[in-house]
Amino acid sequence: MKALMMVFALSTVGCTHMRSLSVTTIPQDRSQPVEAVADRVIFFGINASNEYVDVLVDRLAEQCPKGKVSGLLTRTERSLVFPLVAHRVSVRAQGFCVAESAGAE
Amino acid sequence: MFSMMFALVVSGCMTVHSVQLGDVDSTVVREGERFEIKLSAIGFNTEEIAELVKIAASSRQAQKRVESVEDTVAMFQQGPRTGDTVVDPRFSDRMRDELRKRCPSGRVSGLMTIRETADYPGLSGEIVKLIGYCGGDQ
Repeated sequence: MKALMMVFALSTVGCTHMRSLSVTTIPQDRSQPVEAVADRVIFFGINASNEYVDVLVDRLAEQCPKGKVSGLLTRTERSLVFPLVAHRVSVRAQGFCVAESAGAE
Repeated sequence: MFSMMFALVVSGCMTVHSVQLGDVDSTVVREGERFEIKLSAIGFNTEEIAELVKIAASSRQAQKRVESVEDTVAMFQQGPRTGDTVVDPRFSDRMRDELRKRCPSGRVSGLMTIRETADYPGLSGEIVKLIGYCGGDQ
């Protein structure tokens, strides 16, 4: 029984669940991809705030200082780090930096 | 008892359900004003509330009565959801009006919508948060 429990525990390590996904209008010019990630490892489910995601917009703007980030795909995931002990929540935003003059499809 | 202890341990814990990002205009982000709008409602965790009532119940018969009420309520709580049950799920509908008030120029960029829950024993704060940048007058 103990061995079975151990196998079950180990098999669940690395499990990832998608919580949400969103996409904005995809631009014609997709030559300059940009990406930003905000994540946190949460132990025993204790998490005081979700402010770690606030940096996403600034990180994207830094990568595209003279344009607009469009075609943003935002994915919220929860993955297991260690069963019953820790899990990771990550928000990944991927898009394209477009110069002001370029349009969208 | 275990649920009670667990609920106490995770008091005030924040859970993020979803994050959505809108297009980011770097000029507005750099030169505009950052704003944050938070709308919330009280959520009721019926299972935790039932656990608390069962602990407080004086007799086994009373505990069974609570259990039957809990089971009946559970039958109406099916389907996918985020967070706990709220009285009025339309609490976030005025978000658009709030956004218009916060940024009358309409030059909004870098909009990030966060759906999160603040957990407390039996109750929760069901929160919808909007963070963005407002550019100057057009």
